[in-house]
Amino acid sequence: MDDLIFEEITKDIHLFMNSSEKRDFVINSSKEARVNSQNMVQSLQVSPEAMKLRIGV
Amino acid sequence: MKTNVELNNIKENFIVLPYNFEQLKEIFIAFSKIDTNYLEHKLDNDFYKDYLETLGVKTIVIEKEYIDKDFLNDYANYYVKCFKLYERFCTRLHFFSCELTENSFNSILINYGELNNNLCNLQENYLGYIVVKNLPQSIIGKTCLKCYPKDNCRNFPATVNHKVHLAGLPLNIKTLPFQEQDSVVAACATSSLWSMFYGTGELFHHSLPSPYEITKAATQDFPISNRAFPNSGLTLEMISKAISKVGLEPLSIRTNSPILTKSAIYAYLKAHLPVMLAVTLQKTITAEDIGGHAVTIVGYNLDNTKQIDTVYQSIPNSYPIKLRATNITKLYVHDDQVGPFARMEFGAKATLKNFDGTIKRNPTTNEVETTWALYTSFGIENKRRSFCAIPQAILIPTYHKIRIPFEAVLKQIYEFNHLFIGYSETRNNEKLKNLANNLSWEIFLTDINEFKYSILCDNNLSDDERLRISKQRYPRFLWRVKVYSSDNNILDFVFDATDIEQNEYIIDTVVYSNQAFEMLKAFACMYYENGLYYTENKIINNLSAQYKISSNPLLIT
Repeated sequence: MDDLIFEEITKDIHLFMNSSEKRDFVINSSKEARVNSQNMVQSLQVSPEAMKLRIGV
Repeated sequence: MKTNVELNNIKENFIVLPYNFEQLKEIFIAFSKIDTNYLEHKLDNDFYKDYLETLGVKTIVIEKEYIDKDFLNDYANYYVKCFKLYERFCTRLHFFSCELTENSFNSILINYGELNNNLCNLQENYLGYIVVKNLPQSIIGKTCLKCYPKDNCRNFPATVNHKVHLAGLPLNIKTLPFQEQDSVVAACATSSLWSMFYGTGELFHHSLPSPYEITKAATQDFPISNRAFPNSGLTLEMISKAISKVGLEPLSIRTNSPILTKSAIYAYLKAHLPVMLAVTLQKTITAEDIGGHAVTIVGYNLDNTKQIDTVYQSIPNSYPIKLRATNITKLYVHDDQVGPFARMEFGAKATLKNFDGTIKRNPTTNEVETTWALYTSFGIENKRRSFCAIPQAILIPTYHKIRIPFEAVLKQIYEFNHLFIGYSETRNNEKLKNLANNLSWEIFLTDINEFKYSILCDNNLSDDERLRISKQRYPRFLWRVKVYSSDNNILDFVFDATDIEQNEYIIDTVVYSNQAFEMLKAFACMYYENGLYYTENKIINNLSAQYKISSNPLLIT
């Protein structure tokens, strides 16, 4: 059943690839994905102040 | 039952006793300088009582005048210089789940050469040991106990095979050594590092420093306002220094998001790397901050059959991503204020504070602002939820060849997921939307041997794919990213963890569903036109390169 869905979506992708909207979509979505992912990576950085947290309980 | 006075009068080096918790207390009193009232207070949370009962302990074998390497080192560097005479010998208590007597134990020793069956039973029933230090309060020394029984949800990837010799009898136990802080040469940070190094020492063959050596290595290059010994704690910088002193690279990750924290912990634990969790302890009722604390994460409880209800969004209203480690509900940690394999549960809320220590409130609603936290087993009078732990950071001691960090892999996954969901939003196709929103990701570090072994055992792969991968050359360390479509593993991306970030470091794809693979390759190809890539995403670049190799060129505009 899943294979049929994957096949159907693959055909849809091929249709979209040949459409006029494709170029704008890939440019805008790439920018947005990059900004959001950079935001996520930054949120994982430990600040210099936090590195001075004393652990001793 | 033997009282502590009777125990002290026994001359034999090995004493075999039936287990009960009161007997254990008498043993602690007999072989240390601990006061009875203090011992009652120390064991008040019933952790050791419950834990040993869960293991099914029936017998204790006491090994007197035991020399513990780590304590001897600490003794030589610190305790011996006290005016008061402290004892350098410890006592080791071995626990068994079978009933033994003095006679049956002696029989095993006498007949070991002839009757190996006895030893097999002894090994099956061996539950580990606790070293008792002859000190006034911090008496729990090196503790190697069997972990909780493993089941489908409970996993302890950071345990190692630990060899033990009892009167010459070879035994082994799969565990990670634990010991409590003595507040002299070691606070919680040092104890946590000490446990972690037993795990990494097994993997990367570095030296195993004693608590004194760890504290010394951590503090010697830092100007500190307080003395290093007696030790009142270490900063994260000092902990990183101690990690680098054994030849490893410290990696720290902030713990703002519970989902990303779970994913990072899972990613490294799966590679058998113990992870240090630095927290701020807070009383749940009064919201009083107690201070910084560190524990060593050894295992987790993850139910893979549950639906993933919570998703991660990097900013509100952005496309979400489902990470399979989200369903981790508990961590099993070595907490030197509680014991080995103590549970910490997700789901708590802690009060946020301003810089001046006052409670932070929402300026509009005046509601108290909270942050995510973990319930701990830390507390007095068995009130398990008296304290919560606010995670500040996790620290992972990585081998120098593991150059690609978790966040670099997560970035590629996040971007690809974002692009795919974004595409599904532009199309009027419910099946596509459903597929995109039910993609989930499992990210973990592994090595070539475990990767290939798992492939050999994987019946969901075709024979050709299994043969191809088992004969392929790979680097020593790999990031493996499993992609699921509604709980069916459709594809794995394999990243070279030893490469540099600027390179295209996806080196293979493990294909479980050919049709899904074709779909994702076709999707990736949208981002390539006339020799140019619209994105730097490595998954897109890898898939579109594979599409170009395998597909009909007439399909590409």
